[in-house]
Amino acid sequence: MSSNPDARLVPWKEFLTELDSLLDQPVSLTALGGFVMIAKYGFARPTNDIDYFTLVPVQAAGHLESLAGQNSELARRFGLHLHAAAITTLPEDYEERLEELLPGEFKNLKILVLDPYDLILSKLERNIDRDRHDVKYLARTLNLDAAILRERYFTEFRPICIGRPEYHDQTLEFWLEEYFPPPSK
Amino acid sequence: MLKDARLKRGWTQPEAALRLGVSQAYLSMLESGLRPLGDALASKLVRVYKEPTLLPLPAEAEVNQPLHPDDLASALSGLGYPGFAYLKRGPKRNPALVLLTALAQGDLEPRLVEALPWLQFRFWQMNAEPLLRNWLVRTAKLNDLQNRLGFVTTLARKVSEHQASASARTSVLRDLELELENSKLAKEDTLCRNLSSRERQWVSQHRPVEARFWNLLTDLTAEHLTHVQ
Repeated sequence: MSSNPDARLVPWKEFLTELDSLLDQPVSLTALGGFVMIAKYGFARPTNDIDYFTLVPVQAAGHLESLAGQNSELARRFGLHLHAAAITTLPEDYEERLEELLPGEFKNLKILVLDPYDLILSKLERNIDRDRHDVKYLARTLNLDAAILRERYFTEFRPICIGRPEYHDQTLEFWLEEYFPPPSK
Repeated sequence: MLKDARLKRGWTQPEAALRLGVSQAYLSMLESGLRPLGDALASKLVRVYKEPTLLPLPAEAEVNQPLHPDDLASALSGLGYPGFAYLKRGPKRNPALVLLTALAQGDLEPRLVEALPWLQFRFWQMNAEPLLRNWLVRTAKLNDLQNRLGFVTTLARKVSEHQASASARTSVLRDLELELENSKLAKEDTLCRNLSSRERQWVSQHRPVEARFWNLLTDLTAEHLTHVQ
């Protein structure tokens, strides 16, 4: 694992470039998880898959799996693969805030990623150690605004989240107190 | 142990010696411990026997040394951990050594911590081999790592229980848990993480029963182990 952001992205770029060359139509996927932490936000942490949760066109799913899924030739060669992630709760308007990763880099492949606040909220329901580790990094490195996260949580996420909202309220407050920088005066 | 590995494969000494590129006499001395196993021959031995648990182990105190996360990731990749398959594979190390050296660390990145139960799951047979098991338990106790080792063993055992025809592995891991329970430390510890007081408080309230049993501040469960199967 290199601490150099570009070096960390090299195996991923090679993998995605190869995948792009094998596609015979435009494919767009929305990624989340560890890969986004590395590729978009420069976090030096290990992951061997790209979790994606939307795919356009959806009919490409089978073909994409055969090309780049866990049992594919690309996975064997690169040790990396695409993974269709389990559905996770996201803020209602997340699509309006998606950003393209490596724009102009590929011919057929388009990778969209969540903005940092949406990425943080995607981890709220699970809230295991690696999630908190990521939240701490994002909040402090990007100097995120706790007020934005809180507002987005209550207006777009809490009304649709799975499980007990009161429990998630506690998790949110814990994260805000522990990981977010204090508001500037 | 070397002799047992050879016999398990149904090889005679001459056959094994030929595969290793040494004389039968030299192999005999290696098997009886009269000659140490050098690095070059150790690497070849792992390739021929396909068993990294045969690699030599250091004295117990040597596990308590700082370990760079990249080195641990490379070591895990070298042992075949799927989560780090894309990394350049490091030299093969004895999985027992990798496990205890990692458990001895004060602050590991969470994805590295999540790989530790995989070591116990994948190389469960090292816990059935008397010399290795004794080394593991003795070294863990000497370095106050028995709770951490017990917990990762518990997680590996829980994954094993969900698999059909895995009764031997489950039984071996359970035996080790029982042995470690006898020397379980009362003092609370983390699972190789440096937590703030607020994080410690949070995790203490929300940790699973297995972590509570081993007096560890962690919320890692078997369900979170993506690559242990």
